[in-house]
Amino acid sequence: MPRVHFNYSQIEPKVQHALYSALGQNIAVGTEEVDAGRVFVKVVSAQFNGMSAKDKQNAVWKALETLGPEAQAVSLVLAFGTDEI
Amino acid sequence: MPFRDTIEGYRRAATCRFADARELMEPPTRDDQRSDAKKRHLRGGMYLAGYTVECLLKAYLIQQMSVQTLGDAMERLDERRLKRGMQPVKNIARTAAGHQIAYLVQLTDLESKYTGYDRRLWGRVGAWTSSWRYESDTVKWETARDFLEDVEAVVNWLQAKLGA
Repeated sequence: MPRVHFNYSQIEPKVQHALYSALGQNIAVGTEEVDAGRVFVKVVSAQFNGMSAKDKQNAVWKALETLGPEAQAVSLVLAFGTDEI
Repeated sequence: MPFRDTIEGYRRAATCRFADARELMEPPTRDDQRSDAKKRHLRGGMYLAGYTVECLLKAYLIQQMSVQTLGDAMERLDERRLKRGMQPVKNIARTAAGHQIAYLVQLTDLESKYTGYDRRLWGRVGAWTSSWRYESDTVKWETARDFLEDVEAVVNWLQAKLGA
């Protein structure tokens, strides 16, 4: 399967927007460019406190899937509650 | 047998650490009547389970780069990254970066090569940190069970990608 290349500077703001739109403004989002213009994301939010790892991942990916095919540009998301950091 | 920085060395270490982790999920034989008997080793189990994934990713990187050791894999990764104008790879053989599952998996070609790459699963396992060894709070049994199930899913998937 050929590796798809993404334009990080175009996709990164869309990723941020999708996360803030779905999860609210009281989250902290960190992003980093990885191979092929992909976006590595870290999200911290108090709303994740006490949630299972599965539920945290489901919440962030539900937000990111609003990007449609561009969600493929997100390589990995780490989601933490404020009680974990 | 002393540890060798090779595919087989990392695979053997992965098998041992996962066995250790599973053992820590079982009721203890020492002080087994203490009120915390059912959960006092859970964080230790999660901590050791994370190394299973780390070791397998390092084994996979050695295989991916068609070299003999992780040190050689880093050199070859750096050559490729330099050609693409990317930052050199962090020292994953001897420093804390080598304990970051999220960093290691993003150095591999697993996502682009295999349709079965599960980003949610890797996101959950990638939240592991070697600093869990410092944590003294107890963990819910379900949390530890879920984490070890995730690690087992990664092991089953990744072992199949590693040659015999």
